[in-house]
Amino acid sequence: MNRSLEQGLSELYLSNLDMIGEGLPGRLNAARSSFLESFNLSPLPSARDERYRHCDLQKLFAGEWEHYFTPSPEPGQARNRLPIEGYWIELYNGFCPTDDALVVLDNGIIYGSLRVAMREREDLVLKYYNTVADNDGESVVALNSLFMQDGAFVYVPEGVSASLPFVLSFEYGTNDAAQMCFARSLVVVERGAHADVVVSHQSTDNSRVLVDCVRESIVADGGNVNLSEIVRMNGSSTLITGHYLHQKESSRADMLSVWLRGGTTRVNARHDLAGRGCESNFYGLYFGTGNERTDICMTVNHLQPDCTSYESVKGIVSGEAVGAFTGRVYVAPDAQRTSAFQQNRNLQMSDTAKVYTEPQLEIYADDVKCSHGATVGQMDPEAIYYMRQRGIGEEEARRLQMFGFVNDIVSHCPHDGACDFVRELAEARINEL
Amino acid sequence: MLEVKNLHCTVEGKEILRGINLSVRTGEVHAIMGPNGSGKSTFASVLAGNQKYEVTEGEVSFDGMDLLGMSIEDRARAGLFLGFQYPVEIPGVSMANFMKLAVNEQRKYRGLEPLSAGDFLRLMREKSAIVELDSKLTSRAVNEGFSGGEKKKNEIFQMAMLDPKLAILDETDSGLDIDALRIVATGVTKLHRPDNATVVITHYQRLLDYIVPDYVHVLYKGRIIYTGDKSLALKLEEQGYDWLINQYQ
Amino acid sequence: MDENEKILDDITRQEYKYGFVTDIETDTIPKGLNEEIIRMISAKKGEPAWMTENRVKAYRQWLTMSMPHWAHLDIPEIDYQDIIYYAAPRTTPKYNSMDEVDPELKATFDKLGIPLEEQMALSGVAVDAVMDSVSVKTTFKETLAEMGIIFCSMSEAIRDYPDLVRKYLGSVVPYTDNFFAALNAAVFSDGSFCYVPKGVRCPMELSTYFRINAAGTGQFERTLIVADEGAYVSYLEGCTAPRRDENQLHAAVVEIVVMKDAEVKYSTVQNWYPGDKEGKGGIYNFVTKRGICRGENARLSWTQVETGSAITWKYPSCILAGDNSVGEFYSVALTNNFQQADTGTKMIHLGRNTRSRIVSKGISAGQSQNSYRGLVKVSKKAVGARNYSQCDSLLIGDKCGAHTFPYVESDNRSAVIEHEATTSKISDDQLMYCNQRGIATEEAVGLIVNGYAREVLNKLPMEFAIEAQKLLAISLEGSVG
Repeated sequence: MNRSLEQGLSELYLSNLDMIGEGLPGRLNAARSSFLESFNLSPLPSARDERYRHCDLQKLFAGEWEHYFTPSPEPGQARNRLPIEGYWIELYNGFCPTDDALVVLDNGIIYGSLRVAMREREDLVLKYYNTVADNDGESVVALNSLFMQDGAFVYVPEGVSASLPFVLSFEYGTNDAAQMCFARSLVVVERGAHADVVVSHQSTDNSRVLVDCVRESIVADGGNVNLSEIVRMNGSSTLITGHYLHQKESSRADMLSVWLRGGTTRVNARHDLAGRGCESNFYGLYFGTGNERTDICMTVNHLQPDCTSYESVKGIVSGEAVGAFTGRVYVAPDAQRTSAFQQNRNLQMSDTAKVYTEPQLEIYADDVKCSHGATVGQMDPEAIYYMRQRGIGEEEARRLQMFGFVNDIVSHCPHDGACDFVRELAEARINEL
Repeated sequence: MLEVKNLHCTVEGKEILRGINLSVRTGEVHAIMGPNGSGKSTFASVLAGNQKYEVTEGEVSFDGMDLLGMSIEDRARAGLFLGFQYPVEIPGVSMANFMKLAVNEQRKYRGLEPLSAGDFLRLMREKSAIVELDSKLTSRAVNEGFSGGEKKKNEIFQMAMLDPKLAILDETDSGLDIDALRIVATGVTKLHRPDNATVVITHYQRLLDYIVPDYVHVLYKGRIIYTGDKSLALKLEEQGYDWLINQYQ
Repeated sequence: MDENEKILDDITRQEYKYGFVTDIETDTIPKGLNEEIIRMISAKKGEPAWMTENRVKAYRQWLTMSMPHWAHLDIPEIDYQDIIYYAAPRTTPKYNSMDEVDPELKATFDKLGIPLEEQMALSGVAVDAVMDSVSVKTTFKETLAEMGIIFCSMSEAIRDYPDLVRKYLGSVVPYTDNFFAALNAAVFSDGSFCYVPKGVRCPMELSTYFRINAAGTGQFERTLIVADEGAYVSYLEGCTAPRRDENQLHAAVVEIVVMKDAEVKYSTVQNWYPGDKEGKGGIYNFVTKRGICRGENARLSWTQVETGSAITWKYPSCILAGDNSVGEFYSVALTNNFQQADTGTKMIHLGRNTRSRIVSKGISAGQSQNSYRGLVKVSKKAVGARNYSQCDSLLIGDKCGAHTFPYVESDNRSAVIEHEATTSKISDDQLMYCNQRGIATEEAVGLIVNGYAREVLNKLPMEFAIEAQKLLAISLEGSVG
């Protein structure tokens, strides 16, 4: 290979620069050169990079990828929409298909296309856009910032409590060549405001897509956000997501992510507890069958005193799937009275599956209560025996135990309306195992 | 109802049961006593079908069926209930779901329609009253976070739900305070009918004050070495096992 | 106040008491590292050609490698050309009786509490004492020889038991393993060798005492322990160094081979000079320790109490190759002032039904950084493997850091792996309770820390346990304000 991937992507950007920047604020486009620079400075990591041992981006990006700089036509076929009533933002391959998709409610809530928001509310959007995402540390984030043309935008002004959930529905598909997409979202919850956000990533067909997705969520003082995410990608897809959450004083975030299926899924999540007295709860669940690969990398940064965080991620892997979890809890100097808990529990259902788990604590303050735990194991034979003694068949007992295993994750779905739906999806997935 | 003939079993090559003979007819209550390590719990586990134990010799018939040839769940569905000494916790699986599945599996086995949700809830309420089980517990995960006493009550509650032909209660009285013991024991007594049978495994006479046995067996080194009536339990409480063991040897 | 507490109390008032320098004539070679130096070391030791060649090979490998930087450590540049790679007390060769030993040298070890005298018989510990780079005295050789146990310096082993050495040296830690292991394989000067034959239980604790004395030198010792089928040995290692303003490099390698049904217990009390309160001076302790359970039912247990060194980089590991073999790692690592430690273990499960257990207790005080780093790996063939890890960190003061980096890799669905870790500080309630019973805060901290480390200290042989307990108290001195 004569030309590096990075060169190729840089050239793709440079030769389409006008099209990418069209209709977007000048100062936003001006800033792109710095992303080009940081992308060029830190090349896409390969498996030789410790943090990407289980997910080789060089390999994933290699080969021919089409990228379209205009919205693709929407798929004709019926889609498996989330059965949720809410403020919907629908995106196809990263674009809001209609150009007038920005809604402003009477109470000041704004939601819709990020592109339109940037045009119509330039100052508001740029006050928050790219303030939280790790453009310097993650080359995929810089790449997303470089190519960003559209996305989803949610803004809940001070003191407002959104009465319906925002549903960010990202769908991907293509009828011909393998395609690369960039998906972006920005959620801003102002002081004392409340928002429910449900994010869905879904492939609409069996085509090969490579999605580079970045989400920034900002919760101001006393704000409160519930964030659920449901991922249903096809087996030949690659989804690389960066979730950046920034919490200010006394704010609270309750999150649930369920990675039901996908080809390769890489998650970089960073939760910054950047004000006193924040609380952040995260529940995650992933499934791996066949050749699926799920690599979850989470950091919780306790930057200020008196914050509480809780993270629980569970996985069930079978077939030849790979499940990897790296969790880092960082407690800054002087972030006293921190309470942090993190756990990763895995059920390994086959010898050909692989499980890697690396929970990490990095602590620089002394008045803290931090703990973490990780387990890899199988079904509890004693519990199976107990259930069989009550007349429940062996297969059924195993299923029941798996339901039990995932139940304490899905039962923490922060949206009452979505809870049953998520549970059904998870149970249907277990039945396939 | 239950006919055990010359039952031998080993665990990891070590012989634990060395020829047990026992016959239980409908309407009877049997108590099995014996010093620690004599094989009482093993006997119960073998009847339930725990695969940890290998049956090397003997036969067991239950209601005319070859019990040893049946799977654990089929034994249970046919009406054999084991009250566990240490009931296991099953995180994330709610009691209600668990019981509903167990009851309906049994009904299916017997060719009955599954219970409707309403009937099932009614049954839950009715049966939980027998052991004064806090209704909150039935909404929790199976045995998770239950106290020792609650776990044992839960076993009897499940017995009531499944209405077995033969209930084998393995040290159901251990770790209970006096009130809990009374509740558990009277629960078992209430469930006893002329058309079912109960085998209690215990260390103490105090349980037998409530559950009056027709026969008391003493198990020692994997064999039943003596069988008497309810007065035997009193005598054992007073004098211990030594006199019996000496007589046996 | 009982005896233990009294000792503890006396000792708490002391500074690093092993910081003296022995005025002894030393035979050193010029500073720096090149092939010529390697050959010179080999020649000085009168080694056979195969050994010289091994060293040169390792040196060439080392040249192609670079220092590892993945640890949570801030390691200053080390000028490998500014180190003297060989320093030996002038008086050679080995002594046949105590009378021949340089009185200064004897006094040094006496001062360290390591009497090389025959009265060692009473304490029942056989000692190999290594000063700077050379083994100066091995006690009890004859007694052990009667049972077929070989316990001698590495130099002697190369000379007298070349077949055993060639068979096992580098078999667990090859010179290609890592930067420091390659360096050690090239320049190691001495160390201990121990072979316990089939079916023999070594009747006494074997012990090596390491001492860095000369200035400007590095210490690169090499230890090899082989326990043949059904053998048993318990091995202790202690280390001290004088107080100097410069940093000195210690890059040792320990290899252990445990055959079928054999058991080895390896205990370390590491008390190299940690540097002063301002972080000046101290030993860089970059050590590779690894053992392999080769046969069925083999057992290997590492116990370490790490209180010394400016920087510690050390991961005593077990390769559990034999079916049903067992690996254990018990560690207390205490850092104070500006010390840094990145230590832990690797448990590599290869055989069926292999089991491992990790108990790590980190204590950080002052402005120190203390990290646990450990790998548990279960391979495809390791059916029924089990691991349990418990890693706790205790923080004393708000300027220090405590970190936990476990790595778990499972390729086998029958594996059961559990890791738990907690981080906390000594609670004010505990201190208050002690104060109310008349125990001063500093004393209370010592008491609580010893209680916290108890599970690990209990694994040490008795004499070492008491020494370790004292050490913990001394090392914490001044950490409570």
